[in-house]
Amino acid sequence: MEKKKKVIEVEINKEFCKACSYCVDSCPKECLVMGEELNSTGYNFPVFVNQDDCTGCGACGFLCPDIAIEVYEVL
Amino acid sequence: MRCTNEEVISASPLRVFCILLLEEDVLQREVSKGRKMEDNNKDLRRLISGRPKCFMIAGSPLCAGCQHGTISRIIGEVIDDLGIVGKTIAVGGVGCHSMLVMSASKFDLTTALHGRAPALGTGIKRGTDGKAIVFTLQGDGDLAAIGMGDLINATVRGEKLTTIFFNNAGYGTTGGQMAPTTLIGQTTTTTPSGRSPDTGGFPIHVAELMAGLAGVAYSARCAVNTIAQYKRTKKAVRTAFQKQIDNIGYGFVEILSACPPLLKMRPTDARKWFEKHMFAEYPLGEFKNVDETKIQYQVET
Amino acid sequence: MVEKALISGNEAIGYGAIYADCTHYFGYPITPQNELIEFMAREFPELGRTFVQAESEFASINMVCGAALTGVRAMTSTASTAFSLMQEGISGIASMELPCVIVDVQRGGPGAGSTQHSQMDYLLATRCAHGGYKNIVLAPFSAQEGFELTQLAFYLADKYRIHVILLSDGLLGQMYESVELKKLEFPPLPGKDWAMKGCAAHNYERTFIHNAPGIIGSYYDFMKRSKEKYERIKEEEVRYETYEIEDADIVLVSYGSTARAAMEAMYRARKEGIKAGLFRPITLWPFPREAINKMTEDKKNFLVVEDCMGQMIEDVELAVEGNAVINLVGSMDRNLPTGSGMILSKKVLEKIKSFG
Ligand SMILES: Cc1ncc(C[n+]2csc(CCOP(=O)(O)OP(=O)(O)O)c2C)c(N)n1
Ligand code: SF4
Ligand code: SF4
Ligand code: SF4
Repeated sequence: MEKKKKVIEVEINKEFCKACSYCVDSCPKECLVMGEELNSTGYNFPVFVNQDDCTGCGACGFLCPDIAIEVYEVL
Repeated sequence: MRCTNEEVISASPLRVFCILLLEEDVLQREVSKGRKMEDNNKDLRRLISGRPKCFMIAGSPLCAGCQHGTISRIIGEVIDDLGIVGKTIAVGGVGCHSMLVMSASKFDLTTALHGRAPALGTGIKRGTDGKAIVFTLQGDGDLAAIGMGDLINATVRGEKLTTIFFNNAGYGTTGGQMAPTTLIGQTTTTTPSGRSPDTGGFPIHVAELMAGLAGVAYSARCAVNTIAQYKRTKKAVRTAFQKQIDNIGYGFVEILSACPPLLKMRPTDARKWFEKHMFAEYPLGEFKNVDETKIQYQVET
Repeated sequence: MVEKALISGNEAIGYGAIYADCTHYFGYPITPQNELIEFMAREFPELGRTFVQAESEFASINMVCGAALTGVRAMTSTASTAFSLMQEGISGIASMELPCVIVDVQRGGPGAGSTQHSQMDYLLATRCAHGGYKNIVLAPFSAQEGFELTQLAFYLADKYRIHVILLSDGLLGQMYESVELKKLEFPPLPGKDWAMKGCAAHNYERTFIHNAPGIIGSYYDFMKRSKEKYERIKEEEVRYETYEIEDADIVLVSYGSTARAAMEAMYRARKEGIKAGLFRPITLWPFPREAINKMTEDKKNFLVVEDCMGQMIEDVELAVEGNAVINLVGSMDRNLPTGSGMILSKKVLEKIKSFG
């Protein structure tokens, strides 16, 4: 039987982001890319582009220095 | 005097960023959005990674890519995990290293004069009869230069404190000068042609030094570049707190923390520079982990 | 029955701290205050209180700061050269508005100076370190008064949420005198609900006490609050004593141990028919400026007696507003040219006679 896949939500608080791109670097599944849009202080924040491959490892949220990312598992 | 979060934010080196946020009321919006999100999804979602419970929702006052932020979060997570938010008192040193905790923490905190955090922490620990969990946040200028004596003597007195040491190989707050931890050859604003051993001396290895002191129960050096390092760091910080909780001895963790402006690099490059150069000079690892502090010799009285 | 003890001036301050329910002492050895730290090391642990020997005065003053943050009564003691070392810490305490007591048993300066008495820290104690803050300065002139003023110091510290400096000196500290040990009664004090004990003690609302009033929060509010506090202290806490002042033609102004030589000289002068009086400030800040100013209505001759090259004389000059002649008996008038030299009543009497 196939294991039920976890549903993961990655929330990016764009106003807290400072575009260091650590999250993009650290995602093992390349689920995040730096976006084009700017936040109110002029930083281009990342976008979550690959919901399917995201394993919910949490790395992006753990390593973001600005606490701009929250990773949730939907129960 | 109790301070609101907004007041703290106006204190940061990046106050422009934060004031902007405040002026445009963005922060307020985000705060209420965040709260609503929390309320609605309380039971439906499990937080894997993100804001520790003991941190308020606030923008970070640190520069882009400053790993002090990640380290601060680890401290928050450990305090959450240990369930000690109600009796924790943080003592912030002078420097960027204490700024995120200052602006976000829900636990009690105070600020020490430059380098004096272990002495202030000693007073707090004694003042609360040892009941409070007291930890200091210190940078390499604060701890390894001006405050070296305070740290060492706190362990000599057998204080049960925890120190988180942010090693970014320079002075962040004051604009990128040399610190005792600056690498040989590294350029800073006070070593414009690179730190030379002849005139600038040698990098100091505090974690190893601490391991040699009798009052220290735990000493480790960690980093936060990768998720594996992150996990080891969290474990180390947790152990350093546990040594205090169990009344065993001083808990110390040195954490390498990239400061992009100091290196005049983009955040990702700064991180790579750290991997290449800092890890070579400052090996990661646990240097001491004991369950009792041993007495070597005693005079009969 | 009142308990009486023959103790040194330094120990009298230690007793004062015990009677004031001070629970935390942090210190570092330095002559001529060593009897005090040794007394604390003996007595405090016996009483279940905290004694810590710090590694420096940097550390001891910051430990006092930490303990005071948690709301306990904390103190430290030191002497001149190390009192200088404490200044940044004291300024930090002022920025956090913490109640505590700092004892300075003055020795000679500058630098390591001498290990014996002097009154050379007056300006440092009353004018304070950087940052324009103020602190109450109390100056005892006997072991008995040292014992009592220590208790008062803790009361005033808590009443105003301010640090108090007890300015003693080597002579007073080393001198043995009989002291009546009695706990002084003071009016009730406000609770310390601001104290830091972990946020659980405040219903999980965090307490944040910091030393950067110009960075965090409103600098204006801090300054306004401080100013109001200082004005209140100036109005309510000025203390001094006068002796034979009513009909005096010449007024000696002196504090601490030299006030004893001045007093002796004053009575000897009276025996010789010279109408001398003594004005002894007890609070050096707030300085009894108005009281001195009032005297200038009918008194025009002031002789300041202090064991330095002239420090308190500046306050007296400000107080008389140019309406009187002021002379000094200072450390140049000591009986010996060495660190042991003292200002003796004989010399003061000479200066009274040759006033002008
Ligand atoms: C007694 C004193 N000297 C100097 C300073 C100025 N100062 C403020 S922060 C700082 C350096 C802090 O560097 P570090 O501890 O490495 O912290 P970072 O900012 O790098 O995190 C200095 C020298 C001060 N505040 N107090
Ligand atoms: S949770 Fe892991 S896999 Fe998912 S986006 Fe973040 S880093 Fe990538
Ligand atoms: S790690 Fe955080 S701050 Fe950096 S780009 Fe990603 S979301 Fe933005
Ligand atoms: S200057 Fe360096 S240490 Fe300070 S906030 Fe910026 S990156 Fe962090």
